[in-house]
Formats: sequence, C-alpha cells, structure tokens
Amino acid sequence: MWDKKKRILVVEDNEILLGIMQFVLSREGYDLLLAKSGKEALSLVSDESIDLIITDLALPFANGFEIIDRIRKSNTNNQVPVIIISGYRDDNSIVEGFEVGANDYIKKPISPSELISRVRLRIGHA
Amino acid sequence: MLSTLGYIIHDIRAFFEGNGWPVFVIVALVLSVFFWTACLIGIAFFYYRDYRYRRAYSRIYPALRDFIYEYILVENRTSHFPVDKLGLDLDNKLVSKVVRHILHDFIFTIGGEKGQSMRHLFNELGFDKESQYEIRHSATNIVTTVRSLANLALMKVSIQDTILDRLQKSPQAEIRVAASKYLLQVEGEQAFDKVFDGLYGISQLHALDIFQTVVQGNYYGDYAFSQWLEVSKSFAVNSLFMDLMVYYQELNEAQLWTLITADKESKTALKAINSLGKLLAKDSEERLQALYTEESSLAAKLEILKALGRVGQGKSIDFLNGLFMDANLPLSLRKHAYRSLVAQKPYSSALLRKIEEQVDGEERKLVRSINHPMVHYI
Repeated sequence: MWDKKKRILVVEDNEILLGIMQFVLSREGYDLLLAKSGKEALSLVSDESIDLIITDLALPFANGFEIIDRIRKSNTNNQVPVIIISGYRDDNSIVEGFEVGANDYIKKPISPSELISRVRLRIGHA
Repeated sequence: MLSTLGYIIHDIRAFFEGNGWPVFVIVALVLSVFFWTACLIGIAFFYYRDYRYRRAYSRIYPALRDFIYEYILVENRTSHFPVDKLGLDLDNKLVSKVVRHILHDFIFTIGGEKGQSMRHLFNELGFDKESQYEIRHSATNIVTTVRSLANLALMKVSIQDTILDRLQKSPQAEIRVAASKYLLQVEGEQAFDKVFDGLYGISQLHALDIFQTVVQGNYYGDYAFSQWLEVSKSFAVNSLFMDLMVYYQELNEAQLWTLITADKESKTALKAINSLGKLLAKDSEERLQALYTEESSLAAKLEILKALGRVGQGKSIDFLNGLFMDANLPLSLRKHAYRSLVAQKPYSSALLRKIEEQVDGEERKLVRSINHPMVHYI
C-alpha cells in the first residue's frame, strides 16, 4: 500500500538555520512546509495536515509560545507534537515551552543528527 | 567709553548694511555647500560599501552553503576540506570579511560534531592564522584585536601565554576585556582566577559583558567570587563580582558588609546592600536596621528597606511599622517600609490586617495602591 510521507512544519526566521533544517530533514525523506513568521505558521496549521511542528521562539508577529498556545486551542492539528528550537537557554523559557504544550526543547546551536533523532522519536521514520 | 561702544555699533551696522554683508552671505553659502556635499558623499559612500557587501554576500553565500552541505553534512568530513573548489580570493578584504561572517553564522547555528567540523573549516581557510597574526602584530588596534580574539575564542584556538599576558595587560580596557572573554570562553572556570585577578579600569558595560560570558559558559560550581571584592576596587569591578555572587547564590555577608561600612554613601555600598537582600542574608536583618538610622541619604535608606523586605524574618516588623506610620517621612520611604512589611509575610500578616483595618486618608490610599495586584504587575 502507498505510504504517505510524514509532513513537518518548520517555523524559523533565520535563513541559515531554516536552510539547514530543510536540507537535513528533506534528505531523511520528510515532506516539509516552511514558515518564516508566526502568522504564516498559523495559517499553514489551519489549512494543512501536519505530523510535526518545529518552531523557534523569537519570531516576528507571533512568538513560539503564542503559536503553540494557539495551536493547542485550535480545532485543527491541536494534537500535533511540537519541538521548540531556541537560543534561549534559561530554565524559564524551557519550562514555559513545556507548559504551553511543547513536547521537546532543543537548544541552539543544533546538532543535525540530534535533530533527526528527536524528530524520529516523535513521528518515526519518513 | 560711550564713544568706543558707539564706534563698535557703527562698525557692526556698517558690516551688515554695507559691503560686509554680501561677503558674509557668500562665505556662509560656500560653507553650506561644502557641508552638504560632504554629507552626500558620506551617505553615498556608506550605501556603496553596503551595496558591495550585499553583492559579494549574495555571490559567496550559495557557494559556501553548498560546500558546507556537501562536505560537512553529507560527506561528514571533519578536516582536509577541498577549499580550492570554493574558488574564493581570500586575499581580497571584502571576500574575506563576507566569508568570515557567513562562517560565523553557520558556527552559531550548527552544534555538535558538525559544529566542530565547521570550526576546522574556518581554520583551514586560514582565518585562525590571520587572527593569530593580527593579535601579534596589531595589539594597539582595538577593533582588529578584539575581533581576532572573538574569532579565536569561537574556534577554541589556543593563544600563546606570552601574547595573552600582553593583551591582558594592555592599556586599552577593550583589549583587556576581550582577552578576559577569550580566556573564559576557551578555558571556562579554569580561567576564573587569572581573569578576575587582572580586572581593573573597566566600565559597567565591560563588567556586564564579562558577567554574560561567565553565565553563558554554563558554569555551575561553588567558586568564591566574593574573594575578589575589595574596597579599593572600582564600582564596575565590585559590581561584577556582586552580580556573580547573586547569580550563583554565593552568600558572604562579611565581605559585603566590609564594602558597606567602608563608604556608606558610595554606589558600591548601595549595590552591596541590594546584594544582601537578593542573597537573602537573614543574619543581616538587625544590622540593616541599625544602618538605616546611621544613614543620611535617601537612596541608601530605600535600598536598606528593600533589602529588609527580602531578608526579613520578622525581627524588623516593628521598625518598618514605625516608619510607615511616621507622617513626617517622605512618601517613598513610607511606601517601601510598607512594601517590605508585605514581603515579610507570614511574619507580618497579623500586623498588616490591623493596619488595613485602622488606616484612613492618605495611608489608606497608599496601602490600597501597594496591595493592588496590578501595581505589582506593572
């Protein structure tokens, strides 16, 4: 039977990190949706079917916490696992991330192999 | 006397009404043209430099990105990169600058083993040698030296001790701070003694910079930062150690009291009082009360009241209540006295209930304002 590719929404405004994640995850066979702002991300969440969301915290228009909070309270994709990738290394940001509903937290700079393992842990292979 | 004044007025009138006026206008016009031309040339030069940088960036970025993807992310190379394939003229200053910036961004983004490979690539492109050369030969050029030290710290490249010692003893505070940051980033807590021993003549911004470097180094130990507090040191230096004490919760009341008693009116003393509060130095509660009566400056009294609110274990409740009830005191002192009472709950709970029942007029407004949740929120 034809198996549909797992789809990941990556929300990141840093061009370099977005490019790296796109390259690394595409090579693993995942289907990617890319958003550079909170606004774009929320519109994609309401329109598309998504298996995993990877989001930064410092984003234009709506920060990562707001995005997760709104996703959890929305009608579509509200059970999707969310991984935060952030440069904020303080305990408060990590705790707040989990409190608003994130499933994992990766601190920048990211290790590509660690990212792949954490993605696989949440949604399995592509 | 009057005639002299009359001549002067006559001369000035003659200048503006006669031949002097056109000359004055011409000179002003010429200067104005020069000024605006210089401004326009400056702006045009700035935009041209920015345009050249962006053009070079847009040309180099895709090539360098693909190179990194191919050799570091796909082939998993850790060294011996075929840098010739990049075809970049690194002797060109602009190209070198752009490549360095792009690599910095990648190094800040990629961590783990791949991050280490990125550092090797940076070194293989010759930037470590360039930075080493720059710190050896242009130690008096602040910008170059600071940038080179930052690069070497990012790459974790070691620098000869003799060069580092020279940089740490540089007459320029910026270079000394950059050398300290380098040591903290590369050697971590092993460099604490070396860095803190040589700190002098730094500004508060430098102190903040060093504080952030220590904190970002993920150090979680029990190092005694208080050993470096000294009355003879500047406010910025002592302030740095007090901030580190507070961040790592290292309580050393004796050292802080030494700073306070040395010069009660100084900024260092105010910071030390504040630090006592933040470190919850509960053994200092009575001593702080005594200090309040000795103090004359409002700023010091306010700091003492704030600290009492934090450290208070109920011994200063009557003292604070007395201050709050004293209608002759400035409002700010009474307000902080009451705030500190509120902070000392549950020791002060019974007294606060009594105050809320009894007060009226201005005191009632004050109490309601302090107790209002939005006031604390703001």
